[in-house]
Amino acid sequence: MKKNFLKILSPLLFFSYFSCVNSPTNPPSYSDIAIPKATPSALPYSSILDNLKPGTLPGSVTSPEEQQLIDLMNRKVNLTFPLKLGVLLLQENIDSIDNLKRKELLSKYIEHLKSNNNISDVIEIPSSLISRTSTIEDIRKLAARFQVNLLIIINDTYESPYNDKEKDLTPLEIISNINYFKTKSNMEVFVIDIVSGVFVLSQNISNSLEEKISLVEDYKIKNLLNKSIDKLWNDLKDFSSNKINELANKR
Amino acid sequence: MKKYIFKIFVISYLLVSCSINPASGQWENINIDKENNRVTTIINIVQTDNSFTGKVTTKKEKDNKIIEESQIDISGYVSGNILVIENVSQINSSKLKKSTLTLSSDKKSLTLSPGSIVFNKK
Repeated sequence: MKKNFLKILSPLLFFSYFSCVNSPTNPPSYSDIAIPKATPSALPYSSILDNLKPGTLPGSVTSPEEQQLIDLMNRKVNLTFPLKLGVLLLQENIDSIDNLKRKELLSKYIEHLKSNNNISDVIEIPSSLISRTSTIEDIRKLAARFQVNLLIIINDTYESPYNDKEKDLTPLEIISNINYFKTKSNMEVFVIDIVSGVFVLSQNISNSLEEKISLVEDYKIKNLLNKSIDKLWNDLKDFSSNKINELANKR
Repeated sequence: MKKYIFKIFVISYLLVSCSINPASGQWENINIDKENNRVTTIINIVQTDNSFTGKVTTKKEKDNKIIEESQIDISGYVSGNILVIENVSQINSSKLKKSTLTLSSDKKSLTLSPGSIVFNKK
């Protein structure tokens, strides 16, 4: 009877031993187990599906802003000649030059552009239609309403002549009340293609003039500033003509 | 007799001082500027052995009428036949450019540098 009992019990003990070895109460060491890392695949399936967009591979997702930049980078500028140009002179707080003089210089510049065979028409875009907070896209939209191909944006600044006290004077200069006066004019020029929104040109034009002026002849101080301003606008004329002709020759 | 001795003394002093300090005296330059004005500049120099003082006067005339006149004082040291101008009055906040007056070998002209403006003995 005892023998029979053992015969029945031994297979039961054998199985119960193995079941105890693999049971959770006796866990294996963690070094032996490969722990899965947190990968996108570890995310819930619903969130992975949400991030997927038609035509894009997982991991190559671009934001709408980035996509806009890529679009801009790849845009081609197709200019049709003769060009219809817009000119926008930005309104700045300029104390050293009166507004009438600026308007006169702008009119002469527009007339100069009109004489170019590669330009069919030039329209002045009034700066009163833009505000200080206007973005380049606002300006582009405005130029589109004037139906121009290219827009020239001009930002000009002028420095009133000042007495350069660092300059050494000779005795005769001292007796004649002569001083060295300096002035500086600067202009940032941007040319934007309205259709593509791409900047075709960007240039900084500037000059710095110095002159010996007797303090009793103060009208010469104003003349010095006028010389600098005239030189700046003449340089702008030369720059614009050369660049437009270059663009026309590239066709 | 005393009067004679005094006169001889004064004349000989002037002769000797002029030969020892040849830059002393009045020097003049006349030119016409860009606006067609006649500009006369006179330098009056009193030279001692190693130093000098002087007055520079300019007069600008148009159609024989003085339109501008001004004067400054100068001083400095003497090195051979060169007078180095160290100080100028009315300089205000400006700085003086290194300037010299060079006496010619015949002692008949004085050249102001920079500018090489020639002044003739008056």
